[in-house]
Amino acid sequence: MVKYGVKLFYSSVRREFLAALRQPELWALLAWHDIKQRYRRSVLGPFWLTISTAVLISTLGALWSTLFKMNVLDYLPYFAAGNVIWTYIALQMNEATTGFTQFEHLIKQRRLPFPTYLLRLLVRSFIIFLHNFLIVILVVSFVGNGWSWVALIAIPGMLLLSSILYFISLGCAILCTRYRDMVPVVQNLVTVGYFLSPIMWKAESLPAQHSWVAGLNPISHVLDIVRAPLLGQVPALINWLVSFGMLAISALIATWLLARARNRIAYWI
Amino acid sequence: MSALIKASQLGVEFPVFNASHRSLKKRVLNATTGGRIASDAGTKVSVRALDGLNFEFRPGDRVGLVGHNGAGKTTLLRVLSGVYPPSRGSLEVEGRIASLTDISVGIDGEATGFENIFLRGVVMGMSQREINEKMDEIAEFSELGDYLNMPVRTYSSGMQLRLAFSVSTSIQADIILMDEWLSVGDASFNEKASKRLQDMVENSSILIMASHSEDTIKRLCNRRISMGHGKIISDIRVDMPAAPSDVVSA
Repeated sequence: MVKYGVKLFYSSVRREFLAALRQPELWALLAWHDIKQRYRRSVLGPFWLTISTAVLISTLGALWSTLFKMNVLDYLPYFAAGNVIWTYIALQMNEATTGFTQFEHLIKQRRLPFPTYLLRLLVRSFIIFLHNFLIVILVVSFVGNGWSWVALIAIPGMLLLSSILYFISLGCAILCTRYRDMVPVVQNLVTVGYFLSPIMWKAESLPAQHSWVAGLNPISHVLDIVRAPLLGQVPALINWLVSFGMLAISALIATWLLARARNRIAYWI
Repeated sequence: MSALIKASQLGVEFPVFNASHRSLKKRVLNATTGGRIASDAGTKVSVRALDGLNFEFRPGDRVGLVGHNGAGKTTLLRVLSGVYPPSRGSLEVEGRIASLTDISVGIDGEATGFENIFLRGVVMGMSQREINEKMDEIAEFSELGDYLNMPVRTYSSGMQLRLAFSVSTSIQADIILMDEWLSVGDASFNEKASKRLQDMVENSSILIMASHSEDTIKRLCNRRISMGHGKIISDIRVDMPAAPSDVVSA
């Protein structure tokens, strides 16, 4: 029977999550510091990311719309919004593969709540997302249909998407710390996910017998709760239902994994 | 403020992973082949670093840990700081802990001195408010002056240590964990630093210090625990030569 750290070291997973939320200096401020750090000696700083995303979206946007024979004015806002959201998801998942190992020095020095490490990554990814979001603003304003009040739905959508992403990346970080073979597996899944989700192609342009690829893919529903409002459409009910389902499942799995692993993570690093 | 550390039958085992233990493929194969290669994937190799420790530290205890390299001193300090949860037995810790085992953790070479006071403070477990309150005092003690606006990578190694030391010793803690008595900087700074560390220790309730120096242990500790091969060999109370401090009642 191991009885341990009654008061000090978070007696339950719930307490550990609460302790993490109560100490924003451990993630929000450190994430902000990380970003500042990364671009300290660069003049444009994180706006280099904005520029490279802009280059990517304009060239690929022109290329795909020609290849798929679609109207570029209609296609470009769709592709820009989807791509920027996907970059946020992919960045967080790829960072999560080293979600604990990259903080080895901290983990071996002090018992901080483990959820803080992934929160720090999430804030980091979100800051980069905001820089990239500039492109969506420009494209929707000048190429697309402009803005409507419907776009505000994207805010709760983004909150829901971020929560799902947080729990999935937490579970992924735990697995990748224990099984190092999971790191390339996750990285490959992220790459494949980009092509299998409706980002550069549209769900309605799939041939009828293949439309299940978009319908059964939960990523496409989660994408739409943020992307559709940005493009002036209200997300379908099914998109919300699938997203809330994803949140419940990912939260349950991540909490269960953390409960099992939190006393072992320091040993696995 | 009450501090207490209580361990019974405390044990720590480090799993030793090699490629085959960490691989998911082996786990999957193992499941699908009905344990045919179980002898490969199933046997876990582990190193027992601490074995059946029993102790109780109460306010006023100044514990000196002695023992050869690999006796388990540093591991014990890490277990007490909460980094390694014990794999056997029980451990109860009450009180705020300050771990001075590696005072440079959190320091970032590219960031300025002031930013590093913040970064190191967060790692020590201080809140943002607490750090802001202590900022001036830390800056003054470090004697780094205008250098605090420069990136830490431009510092000499002695100056870096001085900064790390100034932040790490600014915290109020009930329990202090130390790996060797810290000595930093040139002769004059070291004297000042030693005094500050002494004050910090006197204001705490429990000190646990691993050391190879018998002199240091004799000077500072009233309890001497000798360790070997992860076990406690002896645990004896000793008298401190100096007048005992009055923190016991704190």
